[in-house]
Amino acid sequence: MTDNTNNKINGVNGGVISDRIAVIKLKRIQELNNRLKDTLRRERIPASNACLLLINYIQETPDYLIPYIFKLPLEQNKYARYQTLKNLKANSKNTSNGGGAGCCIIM
Amino acid sequence: MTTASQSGGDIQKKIALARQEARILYNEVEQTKLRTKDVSLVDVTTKIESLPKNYNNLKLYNTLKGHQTKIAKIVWSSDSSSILSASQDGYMIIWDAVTGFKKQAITLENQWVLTCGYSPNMNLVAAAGLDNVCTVYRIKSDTNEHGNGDSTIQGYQMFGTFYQSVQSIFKGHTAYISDCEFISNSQIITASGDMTCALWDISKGSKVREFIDHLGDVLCIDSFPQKKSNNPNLFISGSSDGNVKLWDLRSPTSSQNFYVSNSDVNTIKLFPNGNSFLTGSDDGLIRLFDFRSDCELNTYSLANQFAQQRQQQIRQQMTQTLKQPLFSFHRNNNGTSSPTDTFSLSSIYSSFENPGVYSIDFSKSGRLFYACYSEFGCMIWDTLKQEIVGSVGNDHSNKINQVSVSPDGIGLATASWDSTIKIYSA
Repeated sequence: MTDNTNNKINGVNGGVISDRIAVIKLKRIQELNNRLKDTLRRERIPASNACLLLINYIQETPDYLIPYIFKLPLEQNKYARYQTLKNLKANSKNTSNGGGAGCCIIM
Repeated sequence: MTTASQSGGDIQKKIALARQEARILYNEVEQTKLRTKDVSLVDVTTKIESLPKNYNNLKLYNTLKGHQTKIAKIVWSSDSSSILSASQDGYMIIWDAVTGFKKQAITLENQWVLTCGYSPNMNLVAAAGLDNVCTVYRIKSDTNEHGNGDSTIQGYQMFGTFYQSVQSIFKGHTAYISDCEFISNSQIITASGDMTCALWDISKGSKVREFIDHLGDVLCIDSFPQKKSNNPNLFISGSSDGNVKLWDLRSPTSSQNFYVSNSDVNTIKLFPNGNSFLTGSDDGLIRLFDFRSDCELNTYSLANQFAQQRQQQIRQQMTQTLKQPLFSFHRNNNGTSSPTDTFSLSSIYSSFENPGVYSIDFSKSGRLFYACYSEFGCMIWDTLKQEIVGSVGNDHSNKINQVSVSPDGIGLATASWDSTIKIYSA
């Protein structure tokens, strides 16, 4: 049974199938060639120019994670502002309670 | 029969010709690429002043505790006010970045989550992972819960409620989903281990397009900044086939390809202006590519940095203790500085050979980038000078698997295997 089916594929339909595979192969390669041509046609700028544009962008954009160059004023930093607010609240609580006693003390 | 064999021969000839043409074209492409790559970034930046090293500039403001296991992914909201985190404990949590309080917890349909996304209008979140499904959840707006003008700390109560409302379930990938990102309030892109990316529409509830070109698992994606970029229809993807591809949302095939290396591309990040991008690979190298010049501009190697630092240290040690052996086991030898000393030192640092990069993010200007290495924590690199200027997230008690800078550029969050997220700022 299996021999018969194999023969059928190789013998009768074999030629057609291998032709089809060849055609598909050819199409694939032509597709690749077209893509390579597109790549060749692409406009490129020299790397030196790309680097300069990159440096320009970096130097023009303020960046507050580099306090060495750009210092964010404390009142504009929401994290620092919330922390001082929290500390203030804690302090006022402490003073109103007469010094340091929170809601519970663990001995 | 004769006609068939003849046409077969014709086709073979055509194939041979096409192959020859391909070879010629390929060489030409290589040549043009070499010609455009006239310098690397470090050559251009020699005149720019270096940043001081270990200038300990970032302060820890919050530690977000609540997840039970490793954090899979974190995303900042578009207004930088909150952070979405996903963990394989089966929850996503939305945190207030400033106060550190939980705002909402979302129970996941499937706990095996690998990635999450946060829509620009902050009404939707998405989770995806090992179940091959991307699930989009609608979240309650918290405007009424904030109270009316009560700006004191009372207003910052923890009003976390467990809440779940599924908006869409996107099925279609045949392998795990490694990454997902909202590109608008109604569209999301996913990357998958089935070697494809897909675009999904939430209002239509269906897949819009598949992106097929990679020859390995797609591991990461990054989309172009909507406001700044001229091309909001683009995104890039990195794959285990070692390539990064640029895609147009309107086309199922990629429009530009970058060969990175023969190791997995674990993470990619676009430069803030969208003209260049960074890749982090399993080989431990970070590379900077540019779209316009279509080539690599720079390589950032941890091993080189360590080698340079070690060499400096060795030189100092040599001058200090020239007459004494550096290591006791060299006393049997001639005792003075010899080539074997440097050899033994380099062998100590041979463990630096596998420093896979898992996450990278740029600071707002792109001058700095943060890189999470599998073994060496999160390093701060100077993009221009190719130097490590410090590290962040050292307070974590386990591996740091992600670093993310807030969209406003003021905050930085690190996510760790120790199940916490830490928030830093200047």
